Amino acid sequence: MIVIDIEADLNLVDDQGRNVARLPMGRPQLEPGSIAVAGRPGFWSWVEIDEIDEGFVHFRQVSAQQAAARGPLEVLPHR
Amino acid sequence: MVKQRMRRGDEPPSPHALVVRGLAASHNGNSVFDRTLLTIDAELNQDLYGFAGLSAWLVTPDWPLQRILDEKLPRAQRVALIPVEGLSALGLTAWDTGAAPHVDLVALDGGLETLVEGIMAISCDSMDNPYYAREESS
Repeated sequence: MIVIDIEADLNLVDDQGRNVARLPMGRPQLEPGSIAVAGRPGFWSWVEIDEIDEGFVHFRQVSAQQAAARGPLEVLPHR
Repeated sequence: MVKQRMRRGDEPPSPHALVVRGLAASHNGNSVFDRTLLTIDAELNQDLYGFAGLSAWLVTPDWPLQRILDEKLPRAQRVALIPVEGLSALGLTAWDTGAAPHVDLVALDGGLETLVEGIMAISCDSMDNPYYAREESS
């Protein structure tokens, strides 16, 4: 079962075509360039963080292959 | 700080058009939508852009349903198909926000509650997404 790092509505895209969600609390590992899982059960994706801005996180969906190319696909530990 | 949301200036959608919204798995009985998730999403849009809105995708000649399902919603296992003509009867409309074919469903009175209750009440279909691309966690 997938563990979702960023609770998100993947229908929502900003004017640059990026998904956007509230920045989860206590997840300092989330920074531009990092890989995470965003969405909800039944509607989630691997994503690459693009920008963190005033409590919101902007990201782009990537395939598992693209995510794996950035390193091992490990779920970020919650703190 | 609230961000400015781009409007494209498109013609209003045809009443015969559909908007499509990807659905998360829900434990909400037979309802297509989950009221709690709709409220969370409309509140996020309000905090981001200053208005209560729910993101969806407008079916047009340039963006037929199959293209939207394949290119915009490949990660959604199920989707809702909402008739535009059903929106106005419930005090809702679709704004042409961001890049086509994205739209925001909004209430004509601007109310978040009107929006959520309207979407919950709307008569619409849902279907499995034949373009759904399942990916495992590792």
